Amino acid sequence: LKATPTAIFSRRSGAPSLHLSLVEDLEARLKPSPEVEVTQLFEQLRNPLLRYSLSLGLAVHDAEEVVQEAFLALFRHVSDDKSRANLPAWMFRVVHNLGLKKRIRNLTHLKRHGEEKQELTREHPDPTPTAEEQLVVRQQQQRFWEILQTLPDQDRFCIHLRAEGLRYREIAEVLGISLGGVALSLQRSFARLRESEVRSV
Amino acid sequence: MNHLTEEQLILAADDELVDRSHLDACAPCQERLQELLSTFDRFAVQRQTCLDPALPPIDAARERLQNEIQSMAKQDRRRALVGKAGVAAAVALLVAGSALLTSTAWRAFDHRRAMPKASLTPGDASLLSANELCVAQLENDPEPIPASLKRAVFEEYGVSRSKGYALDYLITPKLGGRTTLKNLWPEPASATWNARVKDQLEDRLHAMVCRGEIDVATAQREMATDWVAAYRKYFHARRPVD
Repeated sequence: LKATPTAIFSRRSGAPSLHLSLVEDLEARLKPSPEVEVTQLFEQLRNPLLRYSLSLGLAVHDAEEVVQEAFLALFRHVSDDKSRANLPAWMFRVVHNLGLKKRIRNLTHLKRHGEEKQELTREHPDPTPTAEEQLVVRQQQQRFWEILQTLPDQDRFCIHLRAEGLRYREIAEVLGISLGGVALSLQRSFARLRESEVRSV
Repeated sequence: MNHLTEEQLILAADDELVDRSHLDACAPCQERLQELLSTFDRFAVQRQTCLDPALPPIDAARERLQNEIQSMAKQDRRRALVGKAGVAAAVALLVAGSALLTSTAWRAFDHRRAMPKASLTPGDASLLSANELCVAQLENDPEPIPASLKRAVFEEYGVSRSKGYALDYLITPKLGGRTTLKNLWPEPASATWNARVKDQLEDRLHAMVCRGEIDVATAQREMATDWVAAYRKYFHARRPVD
């Protein structure tokens, strides 16, 4: 816990404030440990982050690995007492970077070994009971992913992040683009989604 | 009357529209905004329906994370205890340090120029294209180096993990360098040619790769062969520039 400017000033002026030091002490005692802090954020963010990693085109085990690494980076971050400002957006940024890196590595590996390019994120188990319903759901899923595949990467990232509840300014921070860039990407995505909805009607 | 453009509606959907006066007074624009929000909502629901069945149960992941965190926290506490040790520990470290200076591993380590031993750290990199390296904008990638790997590097060099060394990549990940034993080495922080200077070169080579002025393989080779010579070549300077 960092001392407030007032607290620093009162110490330097030779008049240490008993009240301030007690407040600081109390705050330090009440502050959750990094372990607790990370565990709390894990409960809140694990599924949204995992969904976003899958949206980047990663297989389930890779996506889990990326999210795990991101939480370890978060632990290091809070242990070092670094900024707590908007940690959820920070986590999405870390997952975005790690996820892209993983995706590049996977593609490079596939290229180098001359294997056929595989679909990386289509291995979703289907909980629907009957075969007919399964087929319908699968077709819907396929259509959904096909629509998304027609969008450029940045537009896709934007709409996935928005679907996870991030504000535009947070999306801009995660992707390292401007607010206008986010709006433009979402505009294109919206047009594409509306077009596909009209077509399916 | 000029209605809101699509872009203005998109901004309004996140309270980012600077002037809302038209929107507040215009029923058709409000309707369009509602339609836009509904489309996004339907997308979010459909996306979640597609993805959620694929998510593995949270319990195993939570347990795994807690175990790793506990082990990291334990290491941190141990480190803190070592930091608080008294004069006796400092003397012991001094003795250990002198022993290291005379060890074979250290003698083979070019301290003055902060160069790694080629036999231990030849460099290891992925063959990525410039596009893969630059488009993804991975400069701030915070991927952590596993603790076991860090330990292995220091052990290999026979160097203690004191404050005088920074673990560094020979070929930076920005240029496709990999997190392996072959590509990591303990860099003396006090050397003239130190990690900060090397970072300058890494940034310059990365920028040159992204501008198409040099290919990825050449940049990787320059880093792995003699990064100090590469620095002199690309900065046109005999000594590190500020």
